[in-house]
Amino acid sequence: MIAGLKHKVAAAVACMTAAGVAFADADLDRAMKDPGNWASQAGDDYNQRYSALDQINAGNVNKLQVAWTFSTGVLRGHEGSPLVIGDMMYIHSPFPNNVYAVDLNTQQIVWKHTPKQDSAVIAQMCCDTVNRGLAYGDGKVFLQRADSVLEALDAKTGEVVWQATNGDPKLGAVNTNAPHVFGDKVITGISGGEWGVRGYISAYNIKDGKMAWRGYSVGPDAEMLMDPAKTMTWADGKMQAVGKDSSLSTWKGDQWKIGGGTTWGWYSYDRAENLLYYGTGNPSTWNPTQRPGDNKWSMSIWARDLNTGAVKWVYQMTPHDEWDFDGINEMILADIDVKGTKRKALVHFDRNGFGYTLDRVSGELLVAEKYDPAVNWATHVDMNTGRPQVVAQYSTEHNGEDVNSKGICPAALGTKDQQPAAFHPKTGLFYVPTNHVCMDYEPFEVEYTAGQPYVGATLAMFPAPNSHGGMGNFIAWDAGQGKIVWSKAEQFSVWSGALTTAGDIVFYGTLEGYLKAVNLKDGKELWSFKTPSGIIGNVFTYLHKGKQYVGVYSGIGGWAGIGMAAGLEKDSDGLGAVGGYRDLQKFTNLGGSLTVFAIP
Amino acid sequence: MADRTTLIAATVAVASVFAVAALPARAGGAEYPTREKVEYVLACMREGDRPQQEMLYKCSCVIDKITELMSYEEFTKDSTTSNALSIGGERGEVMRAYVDGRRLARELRTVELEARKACFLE
Repeated sequence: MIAGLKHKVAAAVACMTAAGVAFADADLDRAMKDPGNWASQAGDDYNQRYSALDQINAGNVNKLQVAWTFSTGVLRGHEGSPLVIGDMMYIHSPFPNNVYAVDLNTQQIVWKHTPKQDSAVIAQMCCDTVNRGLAYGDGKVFLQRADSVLEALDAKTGEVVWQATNGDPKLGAVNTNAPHVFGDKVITGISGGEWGVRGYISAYNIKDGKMAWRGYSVGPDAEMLMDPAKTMTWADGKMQAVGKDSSLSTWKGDQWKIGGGTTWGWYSYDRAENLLYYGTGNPSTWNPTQRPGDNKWSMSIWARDLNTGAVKWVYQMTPHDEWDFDGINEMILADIDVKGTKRKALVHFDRNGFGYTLDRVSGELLVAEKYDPAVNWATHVDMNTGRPQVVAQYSTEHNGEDVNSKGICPAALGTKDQQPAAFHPKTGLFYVPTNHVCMDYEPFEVEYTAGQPYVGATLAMFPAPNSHGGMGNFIAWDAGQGKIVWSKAEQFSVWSGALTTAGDIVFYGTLEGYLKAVNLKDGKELWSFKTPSGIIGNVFTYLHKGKQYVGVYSGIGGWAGIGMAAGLEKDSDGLGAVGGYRDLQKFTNLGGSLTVFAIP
Repeated sequence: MADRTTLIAATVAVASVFAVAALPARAGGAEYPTREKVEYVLACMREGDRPQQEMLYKCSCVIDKITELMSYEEFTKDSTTSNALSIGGERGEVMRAYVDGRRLARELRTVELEARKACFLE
């Protein structure tokens, strides 16, 4: 905390001189310009998850066959996707966060990086030992380890160039997010909202790993890098300055010190504005009665100057959260038509079930509509105040401690979790993997103990009633109008990130393990293939020697393929292989794997 | 490496067994893709401690029985649910806190136990 404060002062000084001027990373720029690469987790800075490749298209996608596979040899959930730069593919794994550089000419491992992390970290991770992938830039590959150490690896050799410690895992400050390279910075967040971690986002210099700035989500203005007179927010139908102590005044006493607002999602960057966009998670604890106030700025969308971290604008989606609707989901930037006007928009599908469209330059709220008709905890978002109109029956605060609030939609995991949606420039639509699950929620009193879970609610979940009976949908969304264009029912929640391509198709994975290709226009299924395990990773595509490939991780944490062995219902199953590195050949069908497809 | 060679050999053997066995298959069995059955047999063999050839016979027997007892759609739904129950964290919690989830997992367990008994695999 002390070290963090010192950096804050340094950053505040830097603020005066460098704000607004973008510094590019030439190496990453070059890599991203070539659509044959998949140089960042979303393929671009805008989080669009769109590829200009069109060899695989709606007419021939049904001919896809498995071209090659790679097993990570690690059990547990496989999120994110590999990166491809030139002839090299960079593959990552869940804890212990192994990294493999694979030569695409031979599919042989060129180098591997196997970090030695204290396995005590596993117990500090609320939501599986996932890792959402690597970043690339300046000839380096960046790995955000679970134990919060951010590592820069030489892309050619795998040697560690620099390391930075981003948090204290003993206090539950661990990492699952992918680092993001924007300009000359590596941006990374922090997890641990369930441990009472006070969230922040940090920028490290790409060259040497020195912290450039850190901005907290809650607390004093200076530590959030907010200027009470210049940082703007939406109120009374217009943008207004946030004013002094905009966070402190919304917390009881010093609860903000363990207030959450963690930052483990997908960030985006607008170079023209030099603004970084991301979301903050739930306030701690899950029991709302224990933390009166709006709990700002948890559950918010943020725009910060990339060079200094200074907050340009911020918007809180769910004041005083009562349901664990983290606001961390991806921020997608797109220039789209919003109610008849061309806008530089930011589109965000929040866990709270509302799809938000904001002007990403000014921060104005333009659209906030439900992207699943089942959403019932609020009737609508008041466009004047920007606040959701909560329905008393579903208010866990209103109903009180030790009362079971029933039939709340969506469930705590949200109408969508982190699994990122995709945008297609041709249709101007967003393609969104969703949950269709509701819950009963009973909050109870908890006491904070450093390094311990700080949750305070018991939940039960079920598919949305009076619907198709399934637990998910894959939808096309018009963010300019706030309307669902088409919706494809899924048996299970869709926990995989989507990919759109110039071949007029959308890809996504399912919990059954199917990689699916559907038609852009109507969601009609064109092709599917069942991979060895459930898919919670993100689909990606690349070109090698002139041929287009599509790939995805599979691996959810259970045993691959079948659930036949007795006793696999327990949470701890599969833990045995998490800590140790095992022989890949021997376990070729177990654990997570990458499956890559092409047209023969 | 030795393991891998035997695995490949087993795959070929299993594949040819299915090529023959697929002909008289019932309505239920016919809809199971070859890939699914081979995958099941390989995983089943890996978990067994009997000689490889014996496991091949028994595991092939088990999957054939399963295809008689449940449709491929049911099998996929049940096995997905069963696997998802072991996901760590909040997503797994969705499945664990889902009443039907445990029922579906038990359904698959019951069918598998019956199939294993019928194939001397216990």
